[in-house]
Amino acid sequence: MVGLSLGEKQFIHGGIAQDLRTDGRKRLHYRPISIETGVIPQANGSARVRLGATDVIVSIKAELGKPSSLQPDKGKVSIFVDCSPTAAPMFEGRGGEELSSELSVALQRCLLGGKSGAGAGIDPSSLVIVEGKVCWDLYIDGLVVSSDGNLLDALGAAIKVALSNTGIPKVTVILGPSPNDQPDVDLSDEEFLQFDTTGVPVIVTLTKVGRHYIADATLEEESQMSSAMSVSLNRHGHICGLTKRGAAGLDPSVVLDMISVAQHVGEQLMSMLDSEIAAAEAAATQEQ
Amino acid sequence: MLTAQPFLLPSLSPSFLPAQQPYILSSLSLRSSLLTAQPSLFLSLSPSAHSSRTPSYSRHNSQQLPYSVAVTHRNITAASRSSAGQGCDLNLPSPIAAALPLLSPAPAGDTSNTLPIAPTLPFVFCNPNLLKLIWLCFAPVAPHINKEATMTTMLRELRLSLNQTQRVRLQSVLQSLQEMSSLASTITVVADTIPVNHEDSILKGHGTSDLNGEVVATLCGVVERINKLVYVRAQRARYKPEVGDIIVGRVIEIAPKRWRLEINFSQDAVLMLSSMNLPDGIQRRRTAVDELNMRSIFEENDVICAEVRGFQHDGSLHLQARSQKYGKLERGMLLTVPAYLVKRRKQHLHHLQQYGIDLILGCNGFIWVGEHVNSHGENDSAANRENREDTVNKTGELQVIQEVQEPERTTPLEVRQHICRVANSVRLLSALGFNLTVEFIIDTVEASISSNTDIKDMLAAEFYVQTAEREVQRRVSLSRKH
Repeated sequence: MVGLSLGEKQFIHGGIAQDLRTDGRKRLHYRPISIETGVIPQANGSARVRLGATDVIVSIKAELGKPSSLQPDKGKVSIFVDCSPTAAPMFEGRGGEELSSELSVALQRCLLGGKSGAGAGIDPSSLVIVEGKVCWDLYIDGLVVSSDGNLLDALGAAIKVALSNTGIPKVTVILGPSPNDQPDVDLSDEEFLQFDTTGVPVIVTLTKVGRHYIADATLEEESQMSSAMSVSLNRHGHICGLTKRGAAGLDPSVVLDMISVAQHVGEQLMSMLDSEIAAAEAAATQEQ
Repeated sequence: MLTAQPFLLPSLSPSFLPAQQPYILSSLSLRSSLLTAQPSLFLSLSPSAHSSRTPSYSRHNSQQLPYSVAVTHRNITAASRSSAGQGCDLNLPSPIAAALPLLSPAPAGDTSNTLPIAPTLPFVFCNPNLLKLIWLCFAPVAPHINKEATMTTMLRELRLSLNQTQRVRLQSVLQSLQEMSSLASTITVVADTIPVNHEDSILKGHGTSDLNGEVVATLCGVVERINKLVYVRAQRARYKPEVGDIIVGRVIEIAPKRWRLEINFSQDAVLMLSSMNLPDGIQRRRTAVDELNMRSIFEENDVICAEVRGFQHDGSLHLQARSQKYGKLERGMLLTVPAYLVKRRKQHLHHLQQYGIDLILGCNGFIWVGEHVNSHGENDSAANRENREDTVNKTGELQVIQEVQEPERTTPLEVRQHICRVANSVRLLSALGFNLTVEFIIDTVEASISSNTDIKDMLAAEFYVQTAEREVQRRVSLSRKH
């Protein structure tokens, strides 16, 4: 990340205060989003989201596994993000680990709910095959190919789109003679169950620069932030998760204000993503 | 993961496009590990009538192309052997085969059937370094080839999604631009033989090499001949500094008696303390105190405009900023464009009066767009000193003389809007691959204002296509005048 001179910093601050950012956007305006699905054919579902110059790829793989003994009626979902060295030279080797773990944890909090599984955007009960014995393990992997700010939003959108593109093979279970035996599971190659993504939330990150908030900050603007808050909202406008970053403290009233602004911005983002998902599905069915 | 993305280079600058045969060069977006493990590349075409020798390719692309992909075996392997020392076998997936026709220049009007027969080979041997050279290649559009591919590649920089009509319009624009340019037969690709009269003693310059008595190009570019010198000028090259260039750079380090600037070049440039005016404007010898106060002149991460004074012994640049028009740039933004889009002109520092903006087109590809500042000079500081004395005299008391420093005032909204428009038009033109000139930038800004395009919509698909169309019309009308 290149440093900025004092004059440039003042220019950015002034622009945000006057509601005209360096590329002409208003404060709460998103960059044009472009979405592709099915970029990784070997995975069960995949998506690539480009938000301006930010580029992320998400792939979803489903594997058979054993449910945990604490929650035998639920499948397992794990989210992991990797920052590729192509995004920034400092990500080579272990340099990107801090950012990766921060993003993974934030995504887990936003999409997977609490420890008991309550309030999860992705319902793990739909992943169980035989209670206590066989379930689906869903591995959601994100890759940051190019970073120009607002990674969390892009990853959240990519996960939502990838889930809509995911096909889990249909399973036929052959129970063994005694109830303690491991049942045989037969995966069908043809039939797939599509994931229902209406419940999956989107993530909206609001970055506070000076006294105003902006949505979809570029890398330059993020370098000027005092604090940032990521709110994960579902279709009904309910908050599924909340993450705050940044060194500066926030007054509680400011936090509540940011949440309401995020709800407003999140509605538009959600509707835009839904239409893109529908368009991608239509294109896919057309091809078939 | 091998994915082929047909790749249109910024070949729209008027100095460059060939008039006749369209081409496309695919770039293989290989991951770095793949590059080291499996070098791969091929080029050149022969008509499909001779495709019997390359059955695998013609099978895949017969629907799309009238040509099939082949190789001028002799030249490629020889070149690669000389440069690499070993060849590597290659199996390329069919989409690459389909998307990689590369024609040797043919006379106008000949489309598919009269291309010269080249000895064909299904495989190409190459070396990753050579591959990178070829990636730099220009690529005019082939109308027969996959139009979708062209669109996506052209928009690589800007990530636009065009709808069908916009794609069609853009396609026609590219075609007409391509037809209009003049440099037909001088374009070479790596391993092409440069036609040379062997009786004359020819000096082989940059980008050429001697192979079996023939002069062969090692770069993709245009062949230039000056008297006895023959060389190949690469189209898409790194910034090549010359003495007297005006450049914009960013301070990265303060070293003893000098500042080091980053200027989008292979090495950092150096601005000596003695090449910079002191704040009080007096011409004197720099003392140790001056050296300690360097940070008060320029700090780290400051953006500076300077001129190239010369080269140091290790090739890095020596800069000077003695004139009033050079110096620190504040209240604006810095944009980076590829350096070859900024050609050398008489004037690089422009003051756009109608907008109140300073536009500096650095030859190194750094463009500064900012609010206009009157160049502070010795006159100003002298006047200030007089003023201060006057105030003391008038009031009769010793006033605490505060430094005449303006409070940080923000840029007015109107000027800021113009700055954003100019910046967006620079981004747009660099994505389109046109040469950046002040007239073009101002034209684009005026067009956006007159068509009531929102500032952020200047980077959207519609305005993108409109700008390209407008440029085509302008060139057509220019050529009609001549």
